[in-house]
Amino acid sequence: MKLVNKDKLKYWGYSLVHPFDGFFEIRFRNHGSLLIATLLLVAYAVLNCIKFQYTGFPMNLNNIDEMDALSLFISVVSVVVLFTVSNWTVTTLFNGKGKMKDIFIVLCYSLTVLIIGDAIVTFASNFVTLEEVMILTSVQMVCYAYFVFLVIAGLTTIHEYGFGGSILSIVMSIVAAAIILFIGILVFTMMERMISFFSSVFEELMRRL
Amino acid sequence: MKRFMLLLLAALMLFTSAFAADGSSNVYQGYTYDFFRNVKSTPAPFVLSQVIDSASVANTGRTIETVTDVATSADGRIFIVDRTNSIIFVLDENGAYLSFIKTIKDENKKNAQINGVNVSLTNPEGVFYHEKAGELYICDTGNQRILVLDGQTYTFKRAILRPENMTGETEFKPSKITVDNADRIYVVVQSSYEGIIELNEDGSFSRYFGVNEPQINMIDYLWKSIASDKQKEKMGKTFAPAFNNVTLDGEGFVMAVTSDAASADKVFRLNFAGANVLREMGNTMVIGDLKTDTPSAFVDIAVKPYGTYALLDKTNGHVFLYNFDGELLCVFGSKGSAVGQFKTPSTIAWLGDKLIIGDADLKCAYIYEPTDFGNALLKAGEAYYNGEWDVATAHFEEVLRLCANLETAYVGIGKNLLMKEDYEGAMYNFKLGNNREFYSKAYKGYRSIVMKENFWVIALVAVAFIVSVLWSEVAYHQKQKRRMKK
Repeated sequence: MKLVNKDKLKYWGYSLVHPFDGFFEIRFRNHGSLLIATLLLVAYAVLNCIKFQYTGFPMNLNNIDEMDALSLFISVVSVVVLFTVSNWTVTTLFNGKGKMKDIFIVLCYSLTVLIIGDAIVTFASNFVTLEEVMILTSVQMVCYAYFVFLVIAGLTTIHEYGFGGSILSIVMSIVAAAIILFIGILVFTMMERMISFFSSVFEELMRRL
Repeated sequence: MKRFMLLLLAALMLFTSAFAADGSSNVYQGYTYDFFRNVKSTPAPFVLSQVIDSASVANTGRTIETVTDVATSADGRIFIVDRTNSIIFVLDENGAYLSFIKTIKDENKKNAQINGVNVSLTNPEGVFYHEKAGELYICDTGNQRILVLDGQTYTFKRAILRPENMTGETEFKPSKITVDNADRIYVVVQSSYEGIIELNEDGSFSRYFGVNEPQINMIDYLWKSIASDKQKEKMGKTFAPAFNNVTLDGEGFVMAVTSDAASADKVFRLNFAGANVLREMGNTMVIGDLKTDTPSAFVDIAVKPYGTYALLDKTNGHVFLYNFDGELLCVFGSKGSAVGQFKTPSTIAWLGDKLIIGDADLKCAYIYEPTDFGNALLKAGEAYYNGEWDVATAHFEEVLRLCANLETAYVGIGKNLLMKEDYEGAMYNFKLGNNREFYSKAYKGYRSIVMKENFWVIALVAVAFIVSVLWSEVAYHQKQKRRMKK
């Protein structure tokens, strides 16, 4: 069985250069692939670890002795997943047409730009001096700007929003993400307390019986 | 950090109980900070060699009640100011008693008089030995004057009272003093926000020097910007933090410290215009302890002629050694009640390569002598400052043999290799020393050598790339043409 057909690969590349048309095809004519999206996300998360360690010395301000690959990996994945969920929660309330799958695909396909940019910068940073670091930083900035453009364009298309509505929905999703995080932390601390409460009650009972 | 502090504390307890009796123990384990602001331990750079306290001056029948200031002369005399007893003790470099200064005589061995009143000290706070003129300057703080004595006989020469042309609101209560080679006198008055008082040779007022800047608090700034004039009056003004101590470095710059937490800078190297030109080229800023709940408060500074300086921190009882570039060398000293530890450290001075550190509450002054490690650090700094690169490298290598954690030493070696155009060696050392700026310089040299050696390969690759791009363009064009014909 063919996992990814050629057509979907084609629309992955197409959506990067023609985001409005490309993401429209992906959303409404089923040209998107969850598999490609997931692979891209994993690739970027791995690249994040590589970047931490192998960025050239003049540009690398990280303490490599304290590198934690797992948390670097999770930090990327969790941000994307969190934003997907929060954006979906917000846009379902505000008449967004996009499904959760579409949001995830838009975010992950857009990551391609960052993967290319970071890979180039990480490689090139091993051959530059401190003065030339500025060039690489500006390359990185261009990549980030294009990434943001792709995300906004993609979300606008899949939700059928205007530009203003799209920006508003992104801001709202960031707020929603913060709320989700807050509730998550709250639940975890409550659980911790509950467990410790029940365990102490249990202990007390055992001692008295 | 907290965990480290706990560990440190535990280690300290262990060591104080085990070794402290002889005073030359591991209590004085040093540490330093790396580029990532982490604590790295080092051997002790200085250990206690001697204690000067009341027992040292027992044959005078007097005691040392507090140590307010310490100064040294080049011939090895130590001047210890006791503010409470209003007395200055003079000792030789081995800590043996020589003389004391309390009531001042004139050349004829009679009591010196000003306006018919005998000249004696009242709560003096500072002393300075001026090598060029062989004179001893004493801040007679209680009497609001500066006394100048002969450097050998301690007889009265002249007194400097409040200059008549002095402006501003600062009271003339000289606390610390230093005199430069042009005989200009720099006087610090505690809690004066107007700066250091600069006097001319004849004692007339010249100017306030080096006004300190307070740190701007954003919230205060916001409130003040929206407050009415009446509200502003009630708020109280933000004054420039006062300088607490002053000294001269080997190049004649005035160096000053402030212990005020509100100050933006803590250590100052003031140029003639009064601007701070302290060199901070190291991996950390010159602010003492990093990542701490108890930030360092510097009460005194001692500078070697080659620019290596020691800062005395009264909060944690630490002594910080920086070189002239502002690179942190090492930190030692601690608070506690064992011999050699501090309670209220008040003053620090160099005596040759030894350090004298006075403690106000413990009523004593400690003489610390450098260990092999400390000696190598000082020697390396001196050779480096004087441009004797190979000598400096040898000393830095000795430092690294004793302690591989010191980034400054790697950078020192790297700079020597860089100058000899051993780029690979320099890169290796700068990487260990976490100095990105100099690593880049070394890498630039290394890269140009590699490029020169492999010029043909690089040129061929470049040409091949250009040709392939052109070829693909041509091929594409022809394909289009063919398609058009169809």
